[in-house]
Amino acid sequence: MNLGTFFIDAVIVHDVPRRRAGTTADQVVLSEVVSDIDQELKNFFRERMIRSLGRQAYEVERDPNETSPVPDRVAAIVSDGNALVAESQEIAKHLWTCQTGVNPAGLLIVCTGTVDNAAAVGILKLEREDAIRVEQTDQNGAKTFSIAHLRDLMLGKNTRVFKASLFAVPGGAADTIDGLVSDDQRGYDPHSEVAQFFLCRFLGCKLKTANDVATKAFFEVSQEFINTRVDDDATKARYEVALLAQMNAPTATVTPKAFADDHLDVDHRKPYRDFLAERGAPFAAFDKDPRLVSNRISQMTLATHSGIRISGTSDAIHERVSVNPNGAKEPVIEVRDQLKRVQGGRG
Amino acid sequence: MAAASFKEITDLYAEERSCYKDLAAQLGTRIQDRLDERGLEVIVQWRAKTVQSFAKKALRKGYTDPLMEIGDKAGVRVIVHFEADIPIVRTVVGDLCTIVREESKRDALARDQLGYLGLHLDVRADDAALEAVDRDRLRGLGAEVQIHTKAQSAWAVVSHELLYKSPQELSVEIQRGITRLVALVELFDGEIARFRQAIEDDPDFQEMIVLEPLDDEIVRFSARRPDRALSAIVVPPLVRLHDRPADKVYPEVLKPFIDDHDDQIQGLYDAYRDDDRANPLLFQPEALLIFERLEHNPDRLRAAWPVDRLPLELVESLATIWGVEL
Repeated sequence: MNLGTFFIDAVIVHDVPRRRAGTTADQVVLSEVVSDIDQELKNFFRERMIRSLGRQAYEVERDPNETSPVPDRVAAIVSDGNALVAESQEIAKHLWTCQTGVNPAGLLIVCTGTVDNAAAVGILKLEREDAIRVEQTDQNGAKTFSIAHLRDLMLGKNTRVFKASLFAVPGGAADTIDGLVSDDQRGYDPHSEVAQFFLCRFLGCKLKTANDVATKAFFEVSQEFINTRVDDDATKARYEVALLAQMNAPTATVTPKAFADDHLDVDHRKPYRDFLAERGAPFAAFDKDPRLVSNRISQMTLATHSGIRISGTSDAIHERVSVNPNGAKEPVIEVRDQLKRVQGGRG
Repeated sequence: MAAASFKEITDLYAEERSCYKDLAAQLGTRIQDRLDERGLEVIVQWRAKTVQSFAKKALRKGYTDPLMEIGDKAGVRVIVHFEADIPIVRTVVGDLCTIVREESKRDALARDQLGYLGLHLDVRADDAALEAVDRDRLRGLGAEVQIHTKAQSAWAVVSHELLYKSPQELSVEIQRGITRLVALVELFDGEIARFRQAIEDDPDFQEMIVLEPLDDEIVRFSARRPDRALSAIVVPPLVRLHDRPADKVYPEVLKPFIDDHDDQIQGLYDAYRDDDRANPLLFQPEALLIFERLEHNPDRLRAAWPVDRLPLELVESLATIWGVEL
């Protein structure tokens, strides 16, 4: 999805309160017409969604094992823009139904528009403090919400989490739904209970690429980039240490862009991004699952042209081994350690 | 000149005038085309001398063979912005015509004299200047090409009018006034040339060349006039991100990029045209430079951003508008 081609046509807002025992879906405050929105507000929402989806979004598709009606509702809106009011009301009721008492109240925003020159539907949940109420307004006798008020809420401190999703339906049917899902919450883990609620139970979707596969592809392709596209030995060693540190770090999510920004030199970042894309490795964020490469990320090996191998944990290599230290003119690998033992054979 | 022969001669010119008219038009058009190809902005005017004007000049100058002696029966005037452009026009005219006589009005003046300036060329059109169907009819006919700056042209037009309406002998006071005016013309062109040189000596001048075509592109997309002073902050460091001469950046990088993304760019400007809160850089030509870098090398764009002059959030916001994260 090229988010630069995403534009908003219409927006509707429903207020979904926290689900409490003994209440029914009647608690949901529904809009009866789309909100009155000018181009400036459309652009505000557009940019807010792009920032959220562009930063850390997961590519998703319909999960046939989920019973959520959202994919069918999205497909219905895409095929008939006039269905936005009725279908979005059903989506709001479904959100309330699949919530539990732990899910905070929120505003459900459903918008129609285009992406890649095809019809698209955006679904956002803006979680808010229970005490913050959003007043409905009357528009020619029909109830709706003021989008300008909503913008003020989003700019203020009364909203906490912004979950966004954008869907296209290239094949027309709900089975072909193609989307991006993101969450402004830092350290978002699509396997956590909260994420499972939004992605699976509510949206009825699953990640397109299994996380263990994405993790393996990221690791192997990054390593190939380091060995084949980086000339300087010291830089190679520095990148490899950073890659292994990334793989062993306790963080649940890997964002390849952040890895590139944090560890690669400026002139290597774009070639690295292109290399990942060329080899089919993810550049979008993914949930780290290293089980397919676990035996290769605990140790790091430096192999020289003359057949010498230096192995150790990435931390030990990082602390004890320097490649071409102080800009040495001749190739130098320096190991600062005490000899423990020597022996014949491969050891 | 006998009255009968004068009538015969003016009648003959009246019959031939359409040839000079065609000659002037074809020569003027070819000169304009060639200068357009070189990217030189000029004004080209042409005319065939009227029969009345021809007759008056013949009488005033006392010519015995005015058809031969009057060189400007077909006349082309090329008006340039800068004196430094005059040799370029002269080269183009030389490519199209045989130059029979060349007179630099400045060179003809003594060191302590002020007078009419500009370059006059008496030429005979070569085939390159003529339509194929007219070559046999027009080849070898004479024409005059005048090359002036705007100031010289203004002076030439006004002085022509003044002198025709003046008595033979101008008073000393009027002569002094005219001298002052001519000095002003020379001073004007000299100062313009000096300013131009100073501007071209600016280290960022080469990079700013890219703005000329980008200005046209941004006006096409946004229908807004950009702010040149703002561009001067952003454009030079961004143009230097391209590993090629500044004058190649638009034709080799930006033009293909804009052509490839025409729909997306137009869609953006359609959405933001009436958005008063939109990022101010969006309506600047450098937005197109930034979009191209966002697409092809966002990391170097970020590193090159002049954070000491413009906040980083401006380019981050443009990245969002373009649909990517910087």
